[in-house]
Amino acid sequence: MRTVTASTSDRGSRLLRGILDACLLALMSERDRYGYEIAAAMREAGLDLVRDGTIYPLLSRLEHRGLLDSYVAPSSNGPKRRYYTVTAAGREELDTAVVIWNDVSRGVNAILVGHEK
Amino acid sequence: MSTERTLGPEQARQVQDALRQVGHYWRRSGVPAPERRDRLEELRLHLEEAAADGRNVTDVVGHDVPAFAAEWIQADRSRPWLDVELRFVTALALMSGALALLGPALFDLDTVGLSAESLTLVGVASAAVLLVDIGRLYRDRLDSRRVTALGVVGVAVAVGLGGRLLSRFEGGRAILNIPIALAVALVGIAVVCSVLSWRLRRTSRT
Repeated sequence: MRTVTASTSDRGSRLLRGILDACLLALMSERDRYGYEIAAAMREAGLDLVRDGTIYPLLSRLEHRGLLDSYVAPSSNGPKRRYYTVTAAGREELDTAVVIWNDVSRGVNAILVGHEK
Repeated sequence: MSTERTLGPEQARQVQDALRQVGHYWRRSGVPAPERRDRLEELRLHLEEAAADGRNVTDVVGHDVPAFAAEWIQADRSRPWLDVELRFVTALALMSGALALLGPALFDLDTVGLSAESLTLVGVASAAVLLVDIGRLYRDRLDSRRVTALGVVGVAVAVGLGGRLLSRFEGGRAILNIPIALAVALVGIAVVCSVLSWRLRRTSRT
């Protein structure tokens, strides 16, 4: 099996950057989360291609666009944390992103699957 | 229970160092204090939880901490270059208007206006404000806006140097007479631009 090198993980980072906002919206559509939980959920899903802090500018942008809201509340392990929650507009945006992703990935898979070694 | 108690001294030091760098950058960038406090607290909790899980500070903020701070704070400012322009106009208008009004007191001028010395101050101060703001935005690339802004800095510096040169010949004479009403209007413009710039930097966290 081909080993993933630094150059191939750069490609992975670029690809992820294009869909990361949808991933964040999807995570918040499951339940409200705070920053570290979001980063941990990304890692658990196998998306370990970005540094944790990458999510914060994106969370700010999504909040600025009205796709997310945030609030401060006590967490399960004590300190008050800022939780992010998806808005109705965010859910619509997520639905659109999922449709586009399925279309694009279907086409890409159709082309690339024959080259897998 | 605070997770900070589970951190070793070196981890705690690295977390505090990262927070200090981010806070310093945001303070210099004019981020309002309530927003700085809110975001730094959010980052602190993330860094401490990451460290408690055995992850490094660089796993969260990367190796260039100021770049991370810049990227985060610019994310919800829709028109960062408009803010830069407003701050430049603020500096230019305030220095011009205030120094013109104070010309008789500070530079022994016969009338309200700008002397060669005050022209130097106007040029240098406004160039400095613009240069600092250019440095904060788009740290890693030289795009057309940044080149244009650097050109304006060059003009402002030239005005400043020209004033310095003229001061050798013009002594204490006003080389640019400005009516009092115009000088006051310039100060008023500076106040308005300053308020607009401050409003542009506000977010839902402010």
